[in-house]
Amino acid sequence: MDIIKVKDLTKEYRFGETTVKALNGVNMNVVQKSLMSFVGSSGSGKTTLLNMIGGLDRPSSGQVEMDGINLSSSPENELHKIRRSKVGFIFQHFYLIPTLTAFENILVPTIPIRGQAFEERAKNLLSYVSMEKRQNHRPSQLSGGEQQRVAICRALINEPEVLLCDEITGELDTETGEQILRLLKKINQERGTTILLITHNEKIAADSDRIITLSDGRIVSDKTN
Amino acid sequence: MPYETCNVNPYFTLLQIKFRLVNTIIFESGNNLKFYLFFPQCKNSFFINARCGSGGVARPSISAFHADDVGSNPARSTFYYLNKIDKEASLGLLNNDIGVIINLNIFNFSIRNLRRRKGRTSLAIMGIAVGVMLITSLLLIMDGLEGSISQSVDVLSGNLIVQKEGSFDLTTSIVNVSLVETLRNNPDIKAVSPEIHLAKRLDGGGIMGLVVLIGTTQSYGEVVSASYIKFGTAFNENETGKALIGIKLAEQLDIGLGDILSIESIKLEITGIFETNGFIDATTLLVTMSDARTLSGLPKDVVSIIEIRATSPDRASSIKEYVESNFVGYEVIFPQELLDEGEEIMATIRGVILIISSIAIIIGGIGIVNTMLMSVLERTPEIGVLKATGWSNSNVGYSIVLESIGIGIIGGLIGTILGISASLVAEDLINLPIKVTILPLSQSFFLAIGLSILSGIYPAIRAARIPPIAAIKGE
Repeated sequence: MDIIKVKDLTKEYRFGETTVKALNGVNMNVVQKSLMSFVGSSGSGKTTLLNMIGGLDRPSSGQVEMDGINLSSSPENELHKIRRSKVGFIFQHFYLIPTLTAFENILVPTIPIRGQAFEERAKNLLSYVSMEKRQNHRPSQLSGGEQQRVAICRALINEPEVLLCDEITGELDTETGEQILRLLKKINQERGTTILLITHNEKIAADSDRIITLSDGRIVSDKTN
Repeated sequence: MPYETCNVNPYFTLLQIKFRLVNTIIFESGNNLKFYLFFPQCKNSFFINARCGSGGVARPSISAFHADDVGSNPARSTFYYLNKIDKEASLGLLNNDIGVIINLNIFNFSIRNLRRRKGRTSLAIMGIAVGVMLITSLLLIMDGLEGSISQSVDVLSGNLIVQKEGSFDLTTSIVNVSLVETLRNNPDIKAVSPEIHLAKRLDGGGIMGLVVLIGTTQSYGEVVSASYIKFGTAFNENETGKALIGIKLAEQLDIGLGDILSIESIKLEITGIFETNGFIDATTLLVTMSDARTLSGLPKDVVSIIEIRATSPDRASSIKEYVESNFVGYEVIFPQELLDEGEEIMATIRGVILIISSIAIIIGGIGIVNTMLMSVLERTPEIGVLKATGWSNSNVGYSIVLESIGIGIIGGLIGTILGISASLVAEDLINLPIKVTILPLSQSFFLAIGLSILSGIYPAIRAARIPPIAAIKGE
């Protein structure tokens, strides 16, 4: 079953008289519970596509459908609910709140809604990523890999159906990066979360179910492993 | 779970309840210790999280119920122990415990954000505090001044003043002394006191040495109060070189009975100390007519004013009509008129003061806007991540406004405390009775809160309107 449907997606940016097409008629579907990699050179449109899929940005034309909801036509006050309930983002930079502990950072997405269940879930997530002993540490007291694991827990706290990862190993050394990717694979297999991953690492890409290569805003290759 | 039980001494500090260990414990440097609090009256125990700064043998002071350190039922535990400190509480000490239950909401999330740039936040707080201090102290001083004037008028309640028509004040008026006997024969008048009013500087008194002198006769007591002399005795009106001093002026100048004051060519011995509970207690020396004439240069046939006590307050109008229709060039004023004039002047001064203070507090508000805008700017990618993780625009905006309100509350509290202190210092300096009342304090405090809300709105709108993707890119 397809959880994401992308149809004729175009994104244009205007710089004075010049128009740049970041995405140029992208069509694709994503099967639920799959692990998919996006590869391509810098500026090929990977991040733009991921942002559109997550409802962070709006297309110039075309549409993105997630779990039957058309994100392209949803107003902002609906989009934030979709982001809260269906999508988890992980970025290259961890963007943890420096005044909060690891445990509290995981709970940040739930602050506006609150609830005791989230706290239990956060505890379980910390155990899941083997961080239970670091729960009271602030980001400055954590290594890069640990911070990224906290960011992964933060993305998972609302139990999203889709996890969108934008070059999440970019700030980590090779070994730590591999650990993080193993963790993602575990999340995909054990929790059934659909994962869309942008990477420059061919080895990582080769390990995923499907590899989409983008160039100049178009899909130039779509391989299934 | 295994734990060691320690006894604690709970005590209050300004903002929180603290627990001091009675027992000595041994712990490792920088170790995060988990403490469980046990209270006999409660079914559940609560745990708090305490970080001990240095290792070794110690009796650390543990802060409980901070935003970080809330028990397993945060709302209940917080309120329970705010209402009641249980002296029988004990502490279970546990190392490396798993599971922290926190009370993280937008409010404490926002307040904790204020801690990020402590220097900048402190400056914004001080900006508001200075404005609030100015307003609070000036309002309290104005209230004190108005109260004092009102009290002075109360002392004169029922009294009328006969003065030269159109006189600027009591010291510039000249009234013929022959009027005194005529007025004494009026059946509506109970007592008449001829007085010479003048302002002089005490020799060597410096800037604080300016006093009001009132040349009086023995009839002064009849129009003011029979028991107005608190210590010593009244002088004989035929004497010279004698004076009665207001009780607050005596305190201010550190003068007692028998002391000698020197004004120009005259030396005055203090024979008594008077108290009317009016403003004159802090400003005035009562002297004999003879000395007042010497100092004022007024001839024997005139005085400054004649103070009249009517047989009853309702006779005041008929006395006024009698004097003003029979004696050309004189007018009768009621103390209430003086009060009204005084109140008008005070209202004007109050308005000017409020405008000046408001400028100060608005500058403080601009400080908040600046602080919050800088904060929003620095945290733009973080705001983007909040939006990416499901925070709505209004959640983000609300959080920024709450931070701003936090600055307003802290600044308002500090400013109010400083304002009270400043007004109490002024009370000593200018000998003005200050009453700390809730109205001026709440006015200035809520002004600070209102301003902080307004100051937070623009940065909040800025933060709320940034598109998530632009925010993450830090644009």
